Amino acid sequence: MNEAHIKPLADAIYADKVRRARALTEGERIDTAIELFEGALGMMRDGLRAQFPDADEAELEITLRKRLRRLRQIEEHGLYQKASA
Amino acid sequence: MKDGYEATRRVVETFSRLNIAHMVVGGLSSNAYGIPRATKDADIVLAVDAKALFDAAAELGPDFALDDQGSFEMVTGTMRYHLRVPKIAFEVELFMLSSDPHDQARFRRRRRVDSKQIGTEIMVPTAEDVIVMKLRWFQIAKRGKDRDDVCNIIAVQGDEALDWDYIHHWCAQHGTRALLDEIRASIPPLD
Repeated sequence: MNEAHIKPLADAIYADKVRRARALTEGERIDTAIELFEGALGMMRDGLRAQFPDADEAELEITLRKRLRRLRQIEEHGLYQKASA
Repeated sequence: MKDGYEATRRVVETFSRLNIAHMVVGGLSSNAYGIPRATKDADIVLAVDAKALFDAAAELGPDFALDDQGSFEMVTGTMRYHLRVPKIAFEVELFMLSSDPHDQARFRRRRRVDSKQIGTEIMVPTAEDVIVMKLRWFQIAKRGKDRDDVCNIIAVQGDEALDWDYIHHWCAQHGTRALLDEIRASIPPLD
C-alpha cells in the first residue's frame, strides 16, 4: 500500500472521528478525557505487571507514578522555570 | 478519593464556595471542543494572589497537597503550582491569572459547561480562545498535541461556528497567523 492509497483512508478515518466527536455534547467530550486517562492507566499497570511479575501492587504503583512523572518532565521540558523559593 | 473526576469536582466546588473566580483550561478545555483525548491532569486558572491560593488549597483537606514552590510558565509568564492528589495518579495544576492581555481576555470570556461525570458545572475558555492559546503553545513548545488540538477543534466546530475575526486578531498579536493558516489548510474534507 503506497501513500496514494493511505491518504484517502487516513482522511476517511479522521472524518469518522470528527463525526463521532460532533455527536457528543461538550460535557460528554470533557468526561471522555478523564475516562481515557483512567483506561490508559489500566493498560500501564497491566504492562508493569507483565514486566515485573514478582512486584506487589504497591511497588507497581510506585513504578507507575515514576513513569508518569518522567513523561511529564519530557512533555514540559523547557516550558517551565522553577520560581526562586 | 476515587479518580480524576472526583479530584476535579472537589477542587472546582471548593473554589466556587470560596468565591474564587476560576477557569478549567488545558486538556479538559480542548476536549470540550475537539476530538476527545486522554488528559492526565486538570489545569485550572485562578484569579487570586499567592496567599489566597495557599489558603484555598488548605480548604481542600488532606487528600490534596500543594507544592510550596511554583514555576513560571515561559509562554505567558504565568505562575503555576502543582496540587498533588497522592491517592491517585491524576494531578491538578493551578495557574495564577497573569497580566498577559490574551490570558485576561480569555478569562473574561469564559463560559459554563455541564460535566455529568465530574458532577458539576465547570468554567472553560471559548473554542476561539483555546485555539489562540494552543497556537501560541505550539509555536513555542512544538508539542504535537497542541497542533492536533487546534486542528481537531476547527474540524469539530466547523468553519461557520468560529469567530475568525477574533482568532485572527490575537494571531496577529502573537505572530501565529501563518501557523493557523497552515493548520486550516491541512484539515481534510469532512463532508
